[in-house]
Amino acid sequence: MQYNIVFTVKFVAVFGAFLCSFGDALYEDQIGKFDWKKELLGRVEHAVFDSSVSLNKHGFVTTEKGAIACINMRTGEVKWRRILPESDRQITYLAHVRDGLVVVSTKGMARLWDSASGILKWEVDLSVAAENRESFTVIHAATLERSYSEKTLLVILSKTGLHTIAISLTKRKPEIQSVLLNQELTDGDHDKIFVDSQNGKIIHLQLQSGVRLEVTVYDADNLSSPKQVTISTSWLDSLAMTALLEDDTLLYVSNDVGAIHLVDLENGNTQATVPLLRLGIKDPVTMMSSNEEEDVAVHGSDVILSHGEGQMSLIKITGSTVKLMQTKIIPEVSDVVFKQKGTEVYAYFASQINNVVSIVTVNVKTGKYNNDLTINVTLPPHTGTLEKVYVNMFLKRNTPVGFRALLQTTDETVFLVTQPNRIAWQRQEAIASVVHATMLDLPLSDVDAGIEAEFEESGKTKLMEMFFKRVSAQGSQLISWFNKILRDLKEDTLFTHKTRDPLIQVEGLTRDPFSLHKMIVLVTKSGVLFGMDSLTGEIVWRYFLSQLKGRQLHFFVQRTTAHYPHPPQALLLGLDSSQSQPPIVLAVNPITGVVIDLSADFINLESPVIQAMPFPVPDNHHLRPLIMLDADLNIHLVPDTSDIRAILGELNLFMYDVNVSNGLIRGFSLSEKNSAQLIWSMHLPNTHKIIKFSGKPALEKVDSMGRPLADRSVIYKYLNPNVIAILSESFDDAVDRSSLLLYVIDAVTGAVIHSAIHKKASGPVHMVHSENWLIYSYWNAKARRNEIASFEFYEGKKQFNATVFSSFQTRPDPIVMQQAYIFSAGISCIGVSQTDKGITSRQILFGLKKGVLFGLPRRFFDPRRPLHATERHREEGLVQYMPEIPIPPELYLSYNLTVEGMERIYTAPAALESTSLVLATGLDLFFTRTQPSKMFDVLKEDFDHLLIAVVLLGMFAAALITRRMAQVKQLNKAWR
Amino acid sequence: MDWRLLCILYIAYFADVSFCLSKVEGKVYLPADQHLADTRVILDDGEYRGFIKVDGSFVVHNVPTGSYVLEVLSPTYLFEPIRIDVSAKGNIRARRLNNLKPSAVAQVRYPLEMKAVALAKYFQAREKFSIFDMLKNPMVLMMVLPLLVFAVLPKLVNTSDPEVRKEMEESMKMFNQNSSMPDAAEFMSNLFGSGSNKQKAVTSSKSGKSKAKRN
Repeated sequence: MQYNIVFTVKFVAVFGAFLCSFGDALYEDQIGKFDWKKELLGRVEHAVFDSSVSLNKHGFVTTEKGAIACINMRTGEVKWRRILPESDRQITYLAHVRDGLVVVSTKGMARLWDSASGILKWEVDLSVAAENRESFTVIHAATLERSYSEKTLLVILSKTGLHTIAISLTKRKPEIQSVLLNQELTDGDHDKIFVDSQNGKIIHLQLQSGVRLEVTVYDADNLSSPKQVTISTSWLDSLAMTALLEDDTLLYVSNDVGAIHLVDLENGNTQATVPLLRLGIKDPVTMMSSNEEEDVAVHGSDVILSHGEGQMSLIKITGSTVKLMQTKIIPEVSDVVFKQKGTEVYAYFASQINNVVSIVTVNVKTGKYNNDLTINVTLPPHTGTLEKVYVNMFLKRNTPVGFRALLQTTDETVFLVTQPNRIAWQRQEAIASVVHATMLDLPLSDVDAGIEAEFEESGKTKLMEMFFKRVSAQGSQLISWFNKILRDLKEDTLFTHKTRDPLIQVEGLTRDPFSLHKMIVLVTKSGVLFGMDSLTGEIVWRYFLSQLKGRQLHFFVQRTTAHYPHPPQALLLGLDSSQSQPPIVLAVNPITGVVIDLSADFINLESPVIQAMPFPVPDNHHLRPLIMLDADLNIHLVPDTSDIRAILGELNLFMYDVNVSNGLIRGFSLSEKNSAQLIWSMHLPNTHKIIKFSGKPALEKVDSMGRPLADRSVIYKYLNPNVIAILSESFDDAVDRSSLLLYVIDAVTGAVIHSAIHKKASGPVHMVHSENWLIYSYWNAKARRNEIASFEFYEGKKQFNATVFSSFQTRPDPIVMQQAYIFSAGISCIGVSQTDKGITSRQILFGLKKGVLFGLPRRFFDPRRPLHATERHREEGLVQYMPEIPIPPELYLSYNLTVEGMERIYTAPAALESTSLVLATGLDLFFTRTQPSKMFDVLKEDFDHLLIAVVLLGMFAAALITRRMAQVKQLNKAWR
Repeated sequence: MDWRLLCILYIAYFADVSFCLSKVEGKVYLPADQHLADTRVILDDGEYRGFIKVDGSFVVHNVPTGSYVLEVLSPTYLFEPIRIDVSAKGNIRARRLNNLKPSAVAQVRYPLEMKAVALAKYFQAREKFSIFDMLKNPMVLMMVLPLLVFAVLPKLVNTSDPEVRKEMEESMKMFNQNSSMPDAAEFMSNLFGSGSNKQKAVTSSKSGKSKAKRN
């Protein structure tokens, strides 16, 4: 208890010391005015529907990012979400049972969640029983649901054993039974488990490819004495074509023999062998579908075989007779789902032709197609193909059943489709894996653009013509203003604020005077491009190209919206990770989402592209061409014209390339038109591997060239734009021998400007490199804490060349200042605020692993912070050195929200110098804005207009009165 | 000396390379059990997580040998982080997190009892207009104090006494001789008379500035 008090006191003391020097925190009423958060889940791997009879329908999904979520099936909103630990986020099994939601992770954690609130009911670590806990892997799981009074049994098959967990309604603690298998299983493909809820049996099929099939039948209540049957099946090499039917009959289809085999599990005897030809199946069977439930009791006696060109045959098995019920041609079927509710059993066929997804239904009992139970929906354009279908069937009053289906497509979108032919909602889960984001200015309104166009052609037209154009442009501006007023009057919204953000006055997707409203372009790992409205987070456009999946994606803005009438343009470069495929080059209009595929120009590229960068200067169409360098040092340009080649010859450009895999850093000169010359290269010591490198942002604006000191002299910044910082980690990760190596290199000449070593330190590192400073975080392995190193580079008290910087000039080595700080929270990414002119002081933005976006003024990382602050230091605004950086909740840009799984922070300037826009991507998407030096250029929202008016009027009145009084006094004086 | 010894002990404590997975247990106490569903327990920044049950208890499973920081995160309350050491044999020691001196050992009770330390304060309070705040403003003080000196002080001195009056007049004369300061009222009237509009503008911008600073 005493400690708590000390802790609080310390907290308060730290706060008191720093609060005055912080930028301003948020006000509570600002929540949600300019920030928004999108809660995402990631690519869906498992989905189940609420099996209870409750009215509020929910669905549950688990994703590859380890999220377990409850989704409202009417709106698609996430009701609750839990994220599994990073060390164990792969999920093998998901089921909804009476008590709640069962989730089994691959590493053997079985958890039961309350399905309404998402609170954990119990958890069981199955790996405890295993000898080798590290390699414990769950292969399959199933639920054995018995009559309501009895316990529900969760059956789990791991590589080493079979486990059951009894889920009881009354008891808190589940009962676990485990039995070890004779031998360790290799993988999940050759094993399957089924349960028989009627007879309380667990059936384990184990296929020894090309030898035999071993069937082990366990009693669900007592695992100790299983019954084993061996079936010799020399030609069966996959369990995909097997099914376990109602009365413990194993069915398997063999294409080699061309027959359906029925085996009695009791004794292992083959009951019947029915040639496929007799059933009218000529082509090999490509897919066999049966009830997807692992429970044999609800399994029934029907299977569907798909063969040939979309032929679907429903086969009914009674005893040892096999009967063909019906064959129908459904082209392009991607998934067949069996569903049972009460006595009704239906099979759902999901197929996709172009953009139209259709789900047709067949009543398995009668073999009839049910036209009422068909959904045909047209997926929106740029959607991938159907990957998986989850069907929720429910009983209805008039028609026996109804259904809704959750569709998952290859672009990671999830749709809920309902009858009649409606997409109820969709979730774009691709946004959970953003690899690049850019914030772009919106285009001007038509009227403003008209005036811009006038300047564009000012060189060609005559004076009078220009005058008339101006008058007409301003006339149209006036008319549109009147129209707007009239419209507002009609809608009675004249003085109401129309956007959510108090500072954004302009509606729609046009630029506002402060340029706070932007278009966010997101490039995602799955190959989907999104255009997003920064005001609301709504998706404006999307584009999907399946070939982009798995490639390294790079995005370059070639022309912004500032050059009317030229449309804005960006390039998406998709490089093959294995360097065997030619690059994909897409020209994207970032505002409209119109994409032109330019890949055809690069189809004949002989060697892979190793590096790309945009021109530092635009061409005469205001476009910055992209330079690509391939492994043979040939230069490729996008677009490639002789004019641009000519500009390239004049520019004297340099490029660098850091090869992370072999530690080779190279610098090239692009002085010749067609190929680059290697001018320097450098190898890292072979004890280290590169883990991070960072240049300065291209075309960065730096406002002041130096820093005034307390003695009224100036220390000039070392503003070399060509500096790159490279951090490498030792291969040896033992605490005592690990180290981090920093090289600060001039990328043009290859000169090492500075190098440093951190002993007993390791990654992961996160770095920000800008102006004349460098900040990175690393792990202090000895003290087991995160630390932040801060470097600043100065030329000294004299400036070498104030106008142009050249790397080739011999100048004195820069003065390096450095300091390190303790940072007591895990960091997932670091960013820095960016403003229009670079006058505003910088704010370092941290994405903390605990789900917080945190911003701290850069002066906390000033390497000149003195150990003992004197008056002179205070005059310069230096804060006394304290080893630990405070992390007060006041400075959380994300306030009490949790931004889960943050990966990167992107910033963009607004036209307001005080303001920087911030976007954090990761599992969640969070957008906000920050004012590192407070909002000095706009009146605050709580500015008291009334008070100022009263004061002004009062002053005016007082001036009049005193004037009168003074006149009277002077008159009196004169009379005296 | 003391801490070095501890350090050596500490290294010995973890030098054993044998591997062990343990579980870290504890209980979270929340005032009135609010926000239980929003409260998370993370170990090693989310590499391992514990999930809180209805009774507040949590278990972090499969924690290998090593030293970690356990945090309880809540949107409403602040909790004190705890350092958890898992020995090679699977024994668990919990101690206060001390980033400045990592070897310092101040043990806390295990299984953990996590109690909220404070309410998290994310927001700045909006300033309300009050006369007192305005008076505290240095600009206002600079204006008001001289006014008081001018207006009240002469009243305090008894001017009817002829001796004092004479003395004052003399001092005023001296003052006037040194600098030909115009009469205050005259000065004002000149200013306003010549360009009252201009003066208004200046005043308004001044008051605007003072307002902005106050914020």
